[in-house]
Amino acid sequence: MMRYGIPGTGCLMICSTRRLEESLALHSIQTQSGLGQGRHFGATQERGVSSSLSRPWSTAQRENPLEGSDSLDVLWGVDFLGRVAEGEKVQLKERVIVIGGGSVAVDVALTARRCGAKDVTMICLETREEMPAHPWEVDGALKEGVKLIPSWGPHEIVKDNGRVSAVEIIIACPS
Amino acid sequence: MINACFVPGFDETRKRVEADQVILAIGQACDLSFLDRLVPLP
Repeated sequence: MMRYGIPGTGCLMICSTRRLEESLALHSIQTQSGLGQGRHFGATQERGVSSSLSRPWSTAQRENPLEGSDSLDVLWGVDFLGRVAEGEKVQLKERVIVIGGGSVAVDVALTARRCGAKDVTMICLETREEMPAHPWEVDGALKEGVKLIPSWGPHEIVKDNGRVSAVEIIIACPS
Repeated sequence: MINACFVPGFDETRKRVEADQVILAIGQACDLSFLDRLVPLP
């Protein structure tokens, strides 16, 4: 995540990329995506792979998105951070809602502010105390003008003529 | 930081927050899709 979680810092990006490449090579780690599209674990074992680590959750996230998330105005966090980190001038609109309460969500919110979004609001299911992001990360985001709506979850992304107009949220009761 | 499993419940209380754009940042820490476009540095 360091590779794309540190936008606009070329030196750190090069260092983190080199460390990632070195780590993958040192430990003979192969990366592969698209398991299930003609690929399966049996095939990896036939190639002599001793063990596999699967992270299907991210795929599930994308295949079961929130209602209304097919709009062009809906981005994915890592994609957004990656585009910015690679130097793309991502033009954001005025009012941006970031859904999530983890460290990536905080990075996304701060990066959105720095990309010119005037009104950035984080919405997360957890209470402020339960948020997966570190408290100092959340404090930093709030100091930079990011708004926070904790204990609410997204129910639907409301569209008007295909463009996002609002997010309907539903209150999350304490666990 | 609380490490216990977070299992929220919901009731029917809803509201709308106006927005022009949404960025989904749920479950992104385990999103390895960036590996597909990771190109070796020169």
